[in-house]
Amino acid sequence: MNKPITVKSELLGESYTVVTHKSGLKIYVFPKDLTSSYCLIATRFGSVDNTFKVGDEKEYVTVPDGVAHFLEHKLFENEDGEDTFVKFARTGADANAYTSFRVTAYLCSCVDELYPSLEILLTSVFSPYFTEENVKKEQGIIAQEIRQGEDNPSNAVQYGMLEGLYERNSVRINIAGTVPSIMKITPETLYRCHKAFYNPSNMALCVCGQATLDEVLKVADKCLHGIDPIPVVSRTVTENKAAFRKRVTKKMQVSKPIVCIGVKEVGISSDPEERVKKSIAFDLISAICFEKSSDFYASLYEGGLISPSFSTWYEHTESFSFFSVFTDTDEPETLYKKFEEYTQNGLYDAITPKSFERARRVLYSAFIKSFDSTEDIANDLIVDFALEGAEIFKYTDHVKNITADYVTEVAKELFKPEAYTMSVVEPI
Amino acid sequence: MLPIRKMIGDGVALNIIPTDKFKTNCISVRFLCPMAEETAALNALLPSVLKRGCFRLPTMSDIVKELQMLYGSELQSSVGRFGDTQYLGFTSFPLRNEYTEGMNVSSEILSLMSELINKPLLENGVLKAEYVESEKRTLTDRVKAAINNKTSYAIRRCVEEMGKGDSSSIPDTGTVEQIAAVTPEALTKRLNEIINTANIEIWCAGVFDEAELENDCVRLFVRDNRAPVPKAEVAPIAPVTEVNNVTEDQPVKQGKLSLGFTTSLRPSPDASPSFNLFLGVLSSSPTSKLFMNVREKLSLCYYCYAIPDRQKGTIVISNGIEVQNKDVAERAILDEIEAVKNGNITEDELEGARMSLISGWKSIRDDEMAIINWYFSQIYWGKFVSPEEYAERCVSLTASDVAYVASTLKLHTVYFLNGTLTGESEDEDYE
Repeated sequence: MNKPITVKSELLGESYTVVTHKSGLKIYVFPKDLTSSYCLIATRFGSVDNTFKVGDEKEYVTVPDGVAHFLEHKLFENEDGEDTFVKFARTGADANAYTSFRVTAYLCSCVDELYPSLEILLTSVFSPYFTEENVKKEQGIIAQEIRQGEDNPSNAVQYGMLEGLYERNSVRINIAGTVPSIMKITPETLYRCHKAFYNPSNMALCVCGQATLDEVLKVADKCLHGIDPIPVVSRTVTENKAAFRKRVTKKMQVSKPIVCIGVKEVGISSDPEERVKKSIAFDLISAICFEKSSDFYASLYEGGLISPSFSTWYEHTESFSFFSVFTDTDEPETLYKKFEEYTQNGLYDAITPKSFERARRVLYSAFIKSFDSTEDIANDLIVDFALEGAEIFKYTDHVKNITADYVTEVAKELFKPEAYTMSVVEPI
Repeated sequence: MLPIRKMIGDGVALNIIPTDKFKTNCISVRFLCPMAEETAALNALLPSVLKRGCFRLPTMSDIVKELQMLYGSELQSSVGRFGDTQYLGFTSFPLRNEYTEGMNVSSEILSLMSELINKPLLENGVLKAEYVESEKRTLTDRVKAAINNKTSYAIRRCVEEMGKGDSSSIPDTGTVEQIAAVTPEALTKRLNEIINTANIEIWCAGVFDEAELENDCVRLFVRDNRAPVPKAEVAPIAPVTEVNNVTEDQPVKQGKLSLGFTTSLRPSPDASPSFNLFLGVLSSSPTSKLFMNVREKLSLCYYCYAIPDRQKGTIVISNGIEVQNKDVAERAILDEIEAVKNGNITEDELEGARMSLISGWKSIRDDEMAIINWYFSQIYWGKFVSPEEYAERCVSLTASDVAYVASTLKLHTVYFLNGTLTGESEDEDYE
């Protein structure tokens, strides 16, 4: 174990301590004086990691779509036959888990009995127990979860956008997979993925609330031993700047067409702090150029071309990057044209010293507010920063130092019309 | 700590919940009036029209820019219901003064809320027609879009079926026809009625100079000669002798089953803890019967949970299933309720629900909006009961208290949204 380091933010009046446990697990302890404490452990295993190799293996192995999410469902089941939720119920903890494109996270919040709850969490995550029978049972449950998603037009239009942008990157595949793909999952698939991605050196833990490092380490010592760090590598694919398809259309029962216009970005830095900086530029582009204060929004809204559901969705990560706008509209093609025209000209006029300063205040205040919740702190710290290789308190420096010129430069590189796609869900 | 509640004018209540745990304050101003067919659409439209522009800040963009300069404060407009009462208003989470270089953003936000309501943008003496028309269009689209989300649609349809002829069947937004009939004149008249007759509830959680806050609120919201309407008496939904079965076909893959029940229990400080414990055992705790049996053992669904309306005395149990499993799922849910009624509750189920409820109640203190909503739901009780007191009361409840709550349930309506699509066939085109 290395020496614990304490990181402070004068601005926020907050600090946390980080240490690498002998198992390789990075542990963050963030003291916070609220009633409930929050524990979150996450692994760099998301839906995009469907082809990978472990240690010195030569060949990549491909697993069925939706396996990361399937594994997330299965880890709360135990060899003693008692569901992890039942164990948590005894400590009064509220537990949950989620899978995204990039990570799988397990979490619990509790008012009392923090350390026993943490022990249940860590034991569950590191004690896989899969059988033919319990995999089969889960297939029924997850099939209903997938069906529910497939019947949701907002989901459909957003995945449609990703299918339009990407040719090979697995971000184009539904996080939960499809009903046929999850039927191919076996206990062996799950054990293989667990062994590869649930190595503590590929993971991070945050305990936020009424916690001390010493007590957290005692629990970690008890639950984590005898595991050697073995690296896992996911296959990376290269994508052209141009969108794979210009249009993706689906028909569903909706009251009017729903559209999502996506823009692919391929300029992704290998430096995590550079990526945070570019994410901030995306935030600022969204706030300045597309939100309610922008002339673009006002003119489309007043012209009846968009609804208040109009929103932006963007991600800038190590394995993919895109920017998109979402709304319902009676005229998808007119909207697409307006978007294309605006992003070639008017958008740059919207970035003025005044609009830039207003947007920066919005970002600054949202960041400060996020430290009012142990849940937000743990999720942001681990999922958005630690697992991406970045440091959370540096965020305010980036916000302070970023310039309008940099944002303009990022926008120019991003908004190339060949990188655009439009996904539409039309009424049946 | 209980809220400090004070009537500061005719029908104007100021409620302060002091807490220094957060970097933001929470301010919510709500105008309460009886839920009625004639006014539902008008009330639903008002906040969004007022947010389009006021006298000083005539466009949406002007208002948003002002909010951005107030350290990125958001101003959420909301329309909600509470028994037979409809409320509309604004909520915001301004940063505390320590983070704003001395600016008192909370006071500015209160002024802005009052300004939107009391100094609206008028043209020829009425609210600007262009904004009214545009918000009518938006609200109409939203009403029509309710069909897009099948989960909430199937719950709402069940509630509507149960409340035929009752105020609970009136949509929060009014109907498409009622929205279409709204004119700038009618909406302006409604605004003036609200200013003069609504019961105004001002809720502030966070760090405030209480005397200064009260002065601000009196200046901004209190008027002479107000005539507040008396509070709406809540009429609970009555049980039926024959169960109402409704099936609706839609081109989706998954079927949605909603079982609507009535209960004779009324919300009160005495009855609510056992009601909540019942919900925990049945549905909301991690060890609940619906989760453990209908989902985990029978593998029938991904979600299965109960949505109570305490004021109207109803519970809807909702889940999403393969269409052919409708009867099996219905039977399975009814069996679980029967089991609770017969006191067939394990130690794990009871204690799991109790622990989960107590934790949930205690952690309400960690969220300003949750604290406000907790106490707001008690304004007609004549006293406030803290979440901690609920937790204490919950400790001594037994399985027979829970069984008693189950015994008050009567099945009223079975609503089924029948999905007519099957398998993987998808209607998709690529270019």
